[in-house]
Amino acid sequence: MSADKKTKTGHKKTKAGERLTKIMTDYYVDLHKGANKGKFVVWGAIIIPAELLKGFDSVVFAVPESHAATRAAKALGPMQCEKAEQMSYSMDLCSYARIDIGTAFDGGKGSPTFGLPKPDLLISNNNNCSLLVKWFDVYHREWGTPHFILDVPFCYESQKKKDLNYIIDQYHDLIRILEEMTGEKLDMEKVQEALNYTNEALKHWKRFISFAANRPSGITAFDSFVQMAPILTMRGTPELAEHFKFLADETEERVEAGIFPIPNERYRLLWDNIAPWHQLRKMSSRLAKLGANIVSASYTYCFGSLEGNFDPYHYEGSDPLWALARMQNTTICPTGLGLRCKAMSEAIERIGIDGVVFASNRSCKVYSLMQMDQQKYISEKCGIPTVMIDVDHADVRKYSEENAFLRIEALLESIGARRAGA
Amino acid sequence: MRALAPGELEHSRECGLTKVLTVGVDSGSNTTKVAVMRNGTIIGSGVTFTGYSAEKSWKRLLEDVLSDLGVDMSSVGRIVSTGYGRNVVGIADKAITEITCHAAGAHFLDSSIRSIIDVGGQDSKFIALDGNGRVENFAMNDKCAAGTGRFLEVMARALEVDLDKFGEISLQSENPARISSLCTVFAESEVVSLISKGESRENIIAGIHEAIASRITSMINRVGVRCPVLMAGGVAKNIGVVKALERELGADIKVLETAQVNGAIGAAVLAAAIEG
Ligand code: SF4
Repeated sequence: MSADKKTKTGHKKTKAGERLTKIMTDYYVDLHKGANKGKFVVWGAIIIPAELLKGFDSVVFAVPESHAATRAAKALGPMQCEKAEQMSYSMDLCSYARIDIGTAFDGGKGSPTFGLPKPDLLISNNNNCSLLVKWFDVYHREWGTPHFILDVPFCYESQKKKDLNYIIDQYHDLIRILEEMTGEKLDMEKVQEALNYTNEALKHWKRFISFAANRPSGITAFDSFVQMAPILTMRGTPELAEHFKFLADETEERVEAGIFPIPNERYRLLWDNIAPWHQLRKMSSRLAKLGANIVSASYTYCFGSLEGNFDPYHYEGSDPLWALARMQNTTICPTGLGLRCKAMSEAIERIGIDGVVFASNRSCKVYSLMQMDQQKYISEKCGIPTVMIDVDHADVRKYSEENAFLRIEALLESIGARRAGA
Repeated sequence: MRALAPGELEHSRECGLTKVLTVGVDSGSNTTKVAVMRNGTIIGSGVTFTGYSAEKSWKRLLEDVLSDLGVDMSSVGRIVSTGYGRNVVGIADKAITEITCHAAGAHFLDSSIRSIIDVGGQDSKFIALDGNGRVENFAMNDKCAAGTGRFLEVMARALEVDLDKFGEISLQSENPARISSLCTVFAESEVVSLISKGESRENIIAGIHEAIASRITSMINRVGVRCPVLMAGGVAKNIGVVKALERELGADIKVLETAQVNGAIGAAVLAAAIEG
């Protein structure tokens, strides 16, 4: 019976959880079908303007990072990483890149989605990291696939106008290239329509993640991590907007009915970094036994938010290229320490967080590099205990559960001791 | 630590007091430690190698410590377990991390202590305490073995010197060798190459202590040292490491006779505080 299905997080699968499986399956099926019918396949980094691609009927969009996360969550990470390592790619490279390279050059073997259809165009950006650009370049070298690189300036304060215009200029180049390669003219109305769907979806996503502020929390970050898949792959579609509405509505109903993922919630934590894909079930159930819930995570705000703010940005104008350029500087990357600290401290206050788990990620240096300073800032500014643990988001070989839990349990004890002493 | 006065337990029993002891079990990666407490006093403790079975080790050790005190499990009330194997101590009333237990142990033994450096077999920790002995902040080594007891064990093997003699030997050094690698495996090769170049044992060992001290100090500086500082864990017995750390930190470090069982003492103290 469907009601008895268990999620990755160990509790009963919600209807939105079941729906997610279906829409993601449909997405991958449609992707392969489209490619088989001769559609133009774009592989893109997660934060490229996916809505722009919706202005071309002939284009389908695949996201290697999201695909790698799916495999890591299904415990296939190490096997795929090893394939890349056997090809002499260093173990120090991001595990998403190793998983993807390992799978791509092995014809998608071992992938639950049969890999991704071969690309006609690669679009990367340096918002997140320069490694991603090099990773996409591997395919450019090996297969001769053209590679368009979006250069997104780093920001230490609000995005500058000249940087925004610089990004828009690059969008015009991208449009020209896509028109030349597909033989199709961009339909800007469809781009606007896609942006409207994304806006609608983000409105509901915001409703959904806001249930973290409820006591006990209406959600766990682990559920949010899993539900992020379509934000990365299906932006600009009505299916995404419908799904997030369903998700937020169902969560609201559950909260109203008094159904909470961790009813005996004693500790409300915030997670900083990419999801530990290989640990979702184990970590959430071990935390649940301790009465702890990671209610929120900076990662779940990594798309659709603007620098210095965790909340998704709601665009109301009618210039899609402007909006898409504006959203290139998100909360996490590429923004400076001051902006990251501002966004996190506001969220801590708003959601009511007792402690922060900074997950130093062996793979994602760009996410992890500032964490030590950020930890110091948050401990001092917000006056709450924090802890740093070692993880790798997709390569379980670089993670030690006992090491991580010793630190997390000590964090919970610190929270408890402060309460007792207060 | 105060020894049990003859007849003390018998007297308690005669007064109808059973289960008068509280116990702390620290099941570490390398060694297992036990501390027994009665009426606010630590009356017994012991240390053994953890070996293959953490469960067998703590059970045997606890039986031995209790039998030295002339009692058995029937006198034991609350038990708190700590250490990496804290969850394998099935009979424990509560499992508490070493961080909290070390803080409780140090505060119990000397309430002025504000920082603890604990260097054990598998990890090193720095714990900053507030004025009430509560954990205010802590830092631990990352996955790497550098800065832990394991690092010293590997070096002792390479030098064919008994680890217990490391401290003493290093004090004779006049010119510590420079070990620059942070990685244990690379540092071992550096040591082997120093041996082949004819560098003296005392200089190499002193160099190893400086390397470990500098690694631990960078971890400590993440939190910030505050005095008085106590060193706990098995490595505290190594005077060479303690001296090197004092030089690096520019602060005196207290080492108590109970350094190695500090976490177990803290666990026993916390066991005594469990209500009900
Ligand atoms: S290093 Fe981080 S930002 Fe770069 S591809 Fe990997 S996960 Fe993404």
